[in-house]
Amino acid sequence: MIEGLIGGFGNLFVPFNLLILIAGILLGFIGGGIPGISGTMLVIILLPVSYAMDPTAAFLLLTSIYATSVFSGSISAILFRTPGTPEAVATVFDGYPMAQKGEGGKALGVSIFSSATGGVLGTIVLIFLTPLLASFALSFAAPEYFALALMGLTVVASLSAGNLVKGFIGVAFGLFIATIGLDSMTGTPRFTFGSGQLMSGIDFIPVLIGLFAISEVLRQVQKRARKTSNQKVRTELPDLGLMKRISGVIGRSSLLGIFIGILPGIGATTAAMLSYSEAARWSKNPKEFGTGIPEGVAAPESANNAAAMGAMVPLLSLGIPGSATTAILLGAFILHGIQPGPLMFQTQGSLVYTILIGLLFANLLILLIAKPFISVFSKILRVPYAIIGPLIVLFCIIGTFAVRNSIFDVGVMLVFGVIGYFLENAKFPLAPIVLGVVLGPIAESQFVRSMQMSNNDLSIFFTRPISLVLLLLALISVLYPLVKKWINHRKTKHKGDSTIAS
Amino acid sequence: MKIKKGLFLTVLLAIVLVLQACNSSSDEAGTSESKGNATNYPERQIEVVVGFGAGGGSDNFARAVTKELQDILGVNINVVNMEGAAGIPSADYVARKPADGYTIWSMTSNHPVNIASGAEPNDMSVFKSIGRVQHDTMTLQVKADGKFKDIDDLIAQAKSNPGKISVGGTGAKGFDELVLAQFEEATGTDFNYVSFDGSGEMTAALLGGHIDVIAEEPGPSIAQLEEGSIKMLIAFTDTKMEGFEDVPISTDLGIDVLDGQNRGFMVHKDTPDEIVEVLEKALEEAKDRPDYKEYEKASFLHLRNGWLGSEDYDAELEKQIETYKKILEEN
Repeated sequence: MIEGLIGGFGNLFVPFNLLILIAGILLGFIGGGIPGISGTMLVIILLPVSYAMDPTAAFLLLTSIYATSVFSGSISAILFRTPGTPEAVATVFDGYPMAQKGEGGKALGVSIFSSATGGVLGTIVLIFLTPLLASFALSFAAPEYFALALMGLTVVASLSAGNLVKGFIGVAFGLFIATIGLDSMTGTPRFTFGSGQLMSGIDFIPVLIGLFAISEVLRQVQKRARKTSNQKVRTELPDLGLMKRISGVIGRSSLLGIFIGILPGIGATTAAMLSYSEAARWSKNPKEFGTGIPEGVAAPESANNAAAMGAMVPLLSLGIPGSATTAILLGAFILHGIQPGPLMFQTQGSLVYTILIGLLFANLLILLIAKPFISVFSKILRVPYAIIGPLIVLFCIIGTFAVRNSIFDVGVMLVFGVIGYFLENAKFPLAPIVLGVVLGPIAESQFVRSMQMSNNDLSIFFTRPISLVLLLLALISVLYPLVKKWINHRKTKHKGDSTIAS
Repeated sequence: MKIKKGLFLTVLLAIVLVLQACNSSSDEAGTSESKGNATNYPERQIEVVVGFGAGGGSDNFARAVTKELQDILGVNINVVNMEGAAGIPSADYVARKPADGYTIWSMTSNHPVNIASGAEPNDMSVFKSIGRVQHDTMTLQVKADGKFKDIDDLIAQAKSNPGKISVGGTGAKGFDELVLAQFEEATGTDFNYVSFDGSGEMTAALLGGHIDVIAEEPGPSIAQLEEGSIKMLIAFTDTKMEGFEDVPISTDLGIDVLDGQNRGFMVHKDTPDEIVEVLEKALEEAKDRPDYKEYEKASFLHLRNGWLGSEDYDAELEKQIETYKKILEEN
């Protein structure tokens, strides 16, 4: 392996390969930074270009785009409340409030630092533990996926900004949106009202873009933010104190991210969402999440980069893609005449190690390149909102359309923009809705699949150890705040103080 | 204050107008005839719609052919995955697009199955085929060190535990399930079918020991088949498979299950004949190109000659629908 890694270094520092790697990183930055162009999309666009290259250069290009676009989606999420890639949706929750408090530079710095750390940790795990983790991922099947998704959904209490009822309504609404369309397990149409377009279901990306980006444009327009924002965004990488403060969150989120990335069929978006939820759940001050705290940026940003690397584990070791982008990479490998799988480290060792070293560098270079890139990017903030606002809407429309080439989705996005505007005016937290939309389809189809596996016997969820542990954790996390509330209530009664912590 | 409200209302109005536009344009899309000039086809980017997830057999097929078509036709071709519900939403999407040859449906045998089961409203009156490119071989695969020694063992165990042995397949009420039904019928067995969205998750479930058998073509699990962690118990074909000569085939068992996944392309029925001809010719050329042949071989798709032209495949599909209807009625 050491030999392989050294060989990988050697291959990477061939001038052409290095050039390709840097080109990939920059493309990933730009693509991720522009709302509506996701890393997946860029990889698809560049796929034909890569056919003309030799496999080493081709996969350095594709994987470095993949690695860096996951990070750069956070830039517009923080500055404009418009996630540049779907993976950055959870970054909006705390990143944008930070920017509004005038801490945009700090938020960007935290995002850079967390992304690079998460990505590097993920790559190191990928290099050293791939075979081990691949077999661990195999112990997960439908019941465990369901338990994991359910666990994610139960975090609604921590995400509902103090209003549990509104939080539950939000999650239920998100789950409802996720049920629209043809049932993927039986083909039964649900809530389609005979409309063919509703049969394909409501994709989560238009919903997210609408809820966050469009609703914010509406709000800014109403505020008549005519003058340019005086806020100067200077990226500040976290100092030692802040680093110390967020290191725990980054560590935990990276591990969770890697782990979720490894599971076939669940990608970095889910990882970011789940690790944000978990960070809020295990935090001492869950109420501060959503108000603009660095932990809320660090958690999803470290998790999504780590997950992106984690998704490479089953791809390289089993030939099974762990996410949408790795599925495209799998196709690219096959079209280059290379079969990823258990034999790949032996048959294509040189290529694999070059890709791994390339990923390591791509993630490290985020630290170096991100700052100058952002300083150019954030010049946009000086443009009057009357110009930026419509541009954001334009990019949202293009981006939404590009996901499935569906003009119907653009309509969905605009409708959810208006819904988001009114929901926020009514002080409805949006995070629970996102939770429902992202996790709903996973929870549902994995539940049905579990029932098929067990001949409709519910005990399948309780007789498998991993699933049982996850479900118990979910239960505890639902009961814990209630118990704590009750205990606090009793305590405060004695003191005659009526403030209740939840 | 007044201006504030005015601006806000203006933006809202703009949104409503765009929505209105979305609505009307999509209404037109389904019914409008081709406005494009058929003789200059293709002039712009073509979209190929795949009804299954990226990375699966059907997706790899579409991408391998598209790579050649792009070169032959000289325009960019965009592959779009619209997974779920056995391809029905993808068919619906293509059916609603203008019949101008710029939206092509990459279809599989799930289409005639869906029509036979009544789940697919877009039947043979809506689509016209460009051609069938592949006739894949369906197989049953198990873990090499698992509980099934060979196909006889599997059948024997299935007979003593009816409904207990789980078989994974992609899609619900789709082709995989139907081939399994034919196998059950022929051998007097009863399995528990578990549907998956894609072959990746399904192969992982087999390797992890969560399901017992998978109904799958050789291609998607070839890495494991070559490495030896998964073995093939039977191939539903009448000629021995190159590279898998030891694997029993349907005729060895004396059963008449030969159905293999068809993969081809269709367009809207109203697409001008000239455009269909251009595409049919391009497709026939694409499938004979060296890169495509290499991919076919690497994925074990070269074992049967799949090519059927536009009219032949339409006729074949009509026949298949009748057959599937019969099987579904019997079950």
